[in-house]
Amino acid sequence: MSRYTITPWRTQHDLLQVRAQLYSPSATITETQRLAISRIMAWKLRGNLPHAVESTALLIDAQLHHSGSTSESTSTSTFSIRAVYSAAFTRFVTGFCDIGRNRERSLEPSSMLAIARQIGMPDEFVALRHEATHEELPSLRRLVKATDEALGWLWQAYWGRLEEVEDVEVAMPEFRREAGELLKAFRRGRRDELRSGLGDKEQDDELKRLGDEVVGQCGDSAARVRAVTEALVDDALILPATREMGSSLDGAYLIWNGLLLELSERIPGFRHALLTKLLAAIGAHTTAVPAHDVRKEALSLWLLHIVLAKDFSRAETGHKPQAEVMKCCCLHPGHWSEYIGKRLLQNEDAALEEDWAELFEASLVSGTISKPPPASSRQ
Amino acid sequence: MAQKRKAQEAFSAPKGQLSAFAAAKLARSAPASSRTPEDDLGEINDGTATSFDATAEPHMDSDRARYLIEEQLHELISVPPPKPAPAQLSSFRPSQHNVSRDDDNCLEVTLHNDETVTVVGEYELTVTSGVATVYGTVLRASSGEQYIYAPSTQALPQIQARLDGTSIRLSSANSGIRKLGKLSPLFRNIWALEPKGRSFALLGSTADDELQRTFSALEVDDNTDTVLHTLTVKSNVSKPPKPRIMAVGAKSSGKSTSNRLLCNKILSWTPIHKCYYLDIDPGQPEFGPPGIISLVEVAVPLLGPTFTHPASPLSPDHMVVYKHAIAASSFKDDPEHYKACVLDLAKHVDKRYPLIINSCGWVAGLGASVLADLAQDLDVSDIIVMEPVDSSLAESFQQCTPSVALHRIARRPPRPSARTPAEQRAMQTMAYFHSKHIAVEDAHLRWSGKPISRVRPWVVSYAGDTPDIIAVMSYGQNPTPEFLCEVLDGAIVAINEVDEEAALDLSERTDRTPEGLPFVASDHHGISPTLPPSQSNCLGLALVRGIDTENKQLHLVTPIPENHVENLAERKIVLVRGSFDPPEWAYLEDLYKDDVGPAQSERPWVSKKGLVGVEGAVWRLRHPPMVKDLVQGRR
Repeated sequence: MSRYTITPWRTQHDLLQVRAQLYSPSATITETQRLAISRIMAWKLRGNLPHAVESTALLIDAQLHHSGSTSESTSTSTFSIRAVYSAAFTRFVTGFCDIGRNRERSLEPSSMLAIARQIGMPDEFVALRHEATHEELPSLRRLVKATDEALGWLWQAYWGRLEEVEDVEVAMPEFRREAGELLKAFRRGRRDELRSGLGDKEQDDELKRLGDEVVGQCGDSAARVRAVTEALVDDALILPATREMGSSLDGAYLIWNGLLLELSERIPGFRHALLTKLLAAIGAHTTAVPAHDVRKEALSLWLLHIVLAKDFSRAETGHKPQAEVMKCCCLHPGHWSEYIGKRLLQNEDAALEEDWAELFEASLVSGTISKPPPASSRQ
Repeated sequence: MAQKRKAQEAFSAPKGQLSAFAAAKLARSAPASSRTPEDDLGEINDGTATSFDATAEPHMDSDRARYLIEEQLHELISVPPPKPAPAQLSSFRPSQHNVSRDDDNCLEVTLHNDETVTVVGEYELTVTSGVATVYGTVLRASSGEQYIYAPSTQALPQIQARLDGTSIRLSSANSGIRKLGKLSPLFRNIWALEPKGRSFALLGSTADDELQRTFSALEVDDNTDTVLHTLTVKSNVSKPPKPRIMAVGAKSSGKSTSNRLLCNKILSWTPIHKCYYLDIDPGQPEFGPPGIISLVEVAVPLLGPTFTHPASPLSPDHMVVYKHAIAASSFKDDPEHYKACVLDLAKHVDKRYPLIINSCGWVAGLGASVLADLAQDLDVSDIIVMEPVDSSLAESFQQCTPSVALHRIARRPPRPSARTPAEQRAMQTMAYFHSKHIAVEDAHLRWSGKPISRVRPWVVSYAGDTPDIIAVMSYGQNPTPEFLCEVLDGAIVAINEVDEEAALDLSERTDRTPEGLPFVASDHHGISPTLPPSQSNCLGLALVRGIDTENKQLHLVTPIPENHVENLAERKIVLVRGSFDPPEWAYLEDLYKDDVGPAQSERPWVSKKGLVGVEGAVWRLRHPPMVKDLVQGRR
């Protein structure tokens, strides 16, 4: 339970967007601020809203209330304006101190001042809050100044420390292009190496270096991993440029095996993403006649290679992709699905046959498969 | 301030809690990098800690150090103290004379009078000869099989023989509830771990468990027993209208346990075999998910914690007569609506059967006045008062309803429970969503182990000529219309049915959000309205799995049985959102089940950060730590 936190915003990007709306220099536009505040109040209803976010919204709301009432006639008394500021400020300070106190879990909770010092909150905030609660409501000038300082402190303590996350839609095409360049250069290099017969050691080093590069670039982002697989499949980097039907892909395997293995081992989920992309590409509609589609044949061969080859199955322990691929073949019947399905079933994996043979046969477009159904079928 | 000092001195000895002073000293002495917190803790426990001077005043700059250390040690701070001596749980000792069958499925034993057997896990109990009691129910050979759930999170029920030579049979059973352990750590390791593969395990003492969990047996003291016995006899003997019994007491005072015992006693000793249960604690209901209050007809004894017997209109064991949604775990925001709902539920009670009322644990302030009003309006005949309760409350009961009989039960030491109230609510909601009531002879309830994300949702239209729902209401705060969809997405709503009049009323106040979702706007004071209980009733909860703004449809996942949901198309349905606890368990089910790595686990609303500092924390109400928390360590 402590590994994951639940946030009221769907993606980190949403939070960054709200930050921009609240703190942007053109924040004299009250509409964007109001929108951001409404959004934060909606997040509060979802629960798990950090106190820093809520306090910021309350303080800016107090500011908007103030400017809203001074722009019209002076029908609102200064008391109500000061009261709104005071309430927002008090909640801001009390919230942090209470959190700190709850964290301590000691029999003798520290004073608010001690906790404020621990988290780096200026003493004046605590003093102002104390005054607003127990003595006279502070003057408007003080409250306005304190609110500005509080917003500054919140930026430094929370908003400024947020993890920057790229906007996936904007950044991905660029990343994919870069990944494509990198992989093309790799392919060129490999071809040259293989032709000139460079030693294995240099090849391994090169592989490691590129592997490091890709792993570093991808980081934790599933979107980036997908972009890399797109570059490999959609841009046809793993396919030989000129090819005929029925010719083997050994050349391509030689070039790419090492790198793909390396990436499968180091990035969990890489193989899964690659298989998904291959399946999508094989299932996609094209104008070519299926039986003569050179590209799809090559992709199918690659798919089978990754699923069946021994070194790949060693690389990623965990669930076996055969079942997923079979499922896809059954659900999307077609010339190449049939081809792949048949090859997988022929691989003499008894469990797979038992589970999928009947279903696969039922899904076929062209008729029955040549092998008789297994003797021990399910009841 | 002498008292404060004493408490500190008493507890600063390292019985497990690393005191603030020790931590500060540690911060000053230890070099920063190489040692991990675990190393430090280990050293402290070796007895080198006694040199720390508990009376030294901390310096100003050590505050920061102490804060940092405590932040890191926050989760690790409670080192378990030396284990206490094992407590006896059963007086029965298995030997070849009294065990007649002991195989993969069953265990049959013969007991002497007053011998007790404590079992953990889920199992079916049959008394083959003689008389035995469990959880207040009296069982004979004619009583048939009883299904008992005994997880380690609650006190375990004891099976006690009342006649010499009583023989009982315990059989393995599988209702599916153990599958929930794969979907959430709250349900893990709370059932039996038996080498024979049985679903239950006999416990002679607390040391018998392989997992070394802490157990306690449910013990009923004489005081409680007398009170319950009096009430049972009264329910049996009196002519209609039968007694209405309400239990009142603070949180964790044992109200629900005593209500369950009472219910079981009434069911086993009266010839009527049925009683009504008015379940009106929205925070810890007996029969349903939190946020809903209900009236249930109970025909079968309650033999397990609350999350194991969700009631449903289909279930012959615990049949829901009527339900209302409060949409919050406490009625503090709208006590008037709460009272109106409770009184509406009470109208459906059949006066020929006794009524047991479960109140919520709020016995001061607003809660007390609501209780007193309810006691009066519901014509309560007996009140079980679990001490300590403010004497003014007891007096107000006497004043409002002079004919009421007060039964006092002395204070019992509160038992530290393995799950916090928020966790219990989460467990209850999760068990509710995974429950399947099968409307067949199969008397038993099942649980589905499928994660919520894989369940096919109901597609419900909200716009067009014949929309399936007429409006979405908010109890409590109304979000601004632009963000209603964002609030609803992935949230829990209550499905309510309204009659024609109320529907007409609502249609006048319905607006549309920018996405076309119909919602009930606040009135001109800005206060959001509630559904009148006499014109509406609640059918159950649903989780909004997604909002399809293009086709103007909502995707809902709900445990309400299929045929009931199909009927909803003809009725006027309103979805109510309020302050239900956010369904965090639902977002994390897949992650716990498959345990996927980081690159595949980008999920909405889930972030992989662990503990945060005070700056990024959420402000939640936590009761101040009590002495026992600090000394024993948590859980």
